[in-house]
Amino acid sequence: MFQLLGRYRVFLTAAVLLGAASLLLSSSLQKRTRFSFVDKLVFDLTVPIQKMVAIPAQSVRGAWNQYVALVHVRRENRDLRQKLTALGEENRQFREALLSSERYERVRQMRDRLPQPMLPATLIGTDSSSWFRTVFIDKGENAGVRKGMAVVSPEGIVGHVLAVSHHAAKVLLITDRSSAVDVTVERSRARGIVEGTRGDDCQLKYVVRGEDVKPGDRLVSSGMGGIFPKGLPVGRVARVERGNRGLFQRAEVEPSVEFNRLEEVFVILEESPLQKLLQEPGQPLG
Amino acid sequence: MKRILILLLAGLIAVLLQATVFTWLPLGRFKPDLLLIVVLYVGFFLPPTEGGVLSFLLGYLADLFSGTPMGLFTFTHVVAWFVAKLASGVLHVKSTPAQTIFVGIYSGIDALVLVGALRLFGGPDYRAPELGTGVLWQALLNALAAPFVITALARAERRFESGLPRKRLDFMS
Repeated sequence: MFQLLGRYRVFLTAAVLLGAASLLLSSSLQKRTRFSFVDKLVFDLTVPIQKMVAIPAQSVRGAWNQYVALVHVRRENRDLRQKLTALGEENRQFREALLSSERYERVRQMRDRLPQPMLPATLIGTDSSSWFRTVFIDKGENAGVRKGMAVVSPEGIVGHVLAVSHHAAKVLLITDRSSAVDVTVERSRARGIVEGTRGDDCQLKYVVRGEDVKPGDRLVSSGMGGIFPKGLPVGRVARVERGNRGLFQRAEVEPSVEFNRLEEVFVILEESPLQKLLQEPGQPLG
Repeated sequence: MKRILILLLAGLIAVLLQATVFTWLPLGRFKPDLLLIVVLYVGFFLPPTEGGVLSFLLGYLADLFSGTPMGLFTFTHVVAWFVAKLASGVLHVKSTPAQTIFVGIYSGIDALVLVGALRLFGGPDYRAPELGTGVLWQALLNALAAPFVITALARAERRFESGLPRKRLDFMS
């Protein structure tokens, strides 16, 4: 008996582990994503390491973007080296100041538009795989972040909180395939759903064929999805596809947020009425 | 036990690199999947029970650092370990080109296993043709990273654990 078990050890181990993995996967799909105590512990333990790597790397990247391009120009224009460097540095400082003031202005405008309390957070990591679109932020349960809360930037909607540990949270971006945002075309008020694609863009779906949608149209959240407040920018229509058949038209959407450059976001701390309703215990009818 | 801890630590480093530093590589949305290479290494060189459990833990780690439903990468990484374990009895992946080809081919299979598992368990709908050239890019990146990762793992194991059988080092070119 034991000899037989030993002989098929690889197959038995694989069967047991695949069974366990299947149970884990189907139970997580049933309950949706929720971190267990062990998940939170492992995740929290890695937060300082992620921060340690992310913050200096962001600084280095900033320095790279600002200086190395100028060094390259300087090489091509040797005669103007000193002058160019001085002007470049001056220009960089002005640009930095301008960008900062523009950013503050956008944050101020966003805060004016949204009455809900917001928590600033820094990105400390991204999805470890190439197939999914999530990011990690440095604020978690202890700062008041809860699963399902909306995450925005001054440019528009970023995504929503998928899972949360004590000191960090996982945010599902709107560019992920499993994300869906209920939107309105700002100009014509046509309604549709923005979903993620395989790339870094999104697509607008379920817009009735007769509705007026054109390239360049701005899409804003309708507030009907239950997660995002109404009126937040989502993206801009890049191309509209109307097939010969079918009830709906489809459009390619460029997100308002440049996800590759995203460094800081805001978590809207107020839970939507839908989330509150979902958390309430069921009441017997009658 | 020491071996398992070394490889678990290697997996943690791999996943942290993928979640932080690799984001800034100019490779678009793709990044080398170092963790998958670690799992394949485990499949090739660790005994079945230890290797299986380790691949399960590494997959769980990948799930924590990804937007997938918990258990998806646990499932695909156990499959990867199983395939590598079966392949280790048939193939002799000694040279760098052989390692590169094996990891490259398996990366393609891994993407199909991922899509299949999502379909099977009713997760978000990823259609296989949509992965398209993405799979090729991913396979290429993984294949290029494989010799470096495998060399580093073998060296780390040799450094921290004396008395390893020479046979295992055959994987090195």
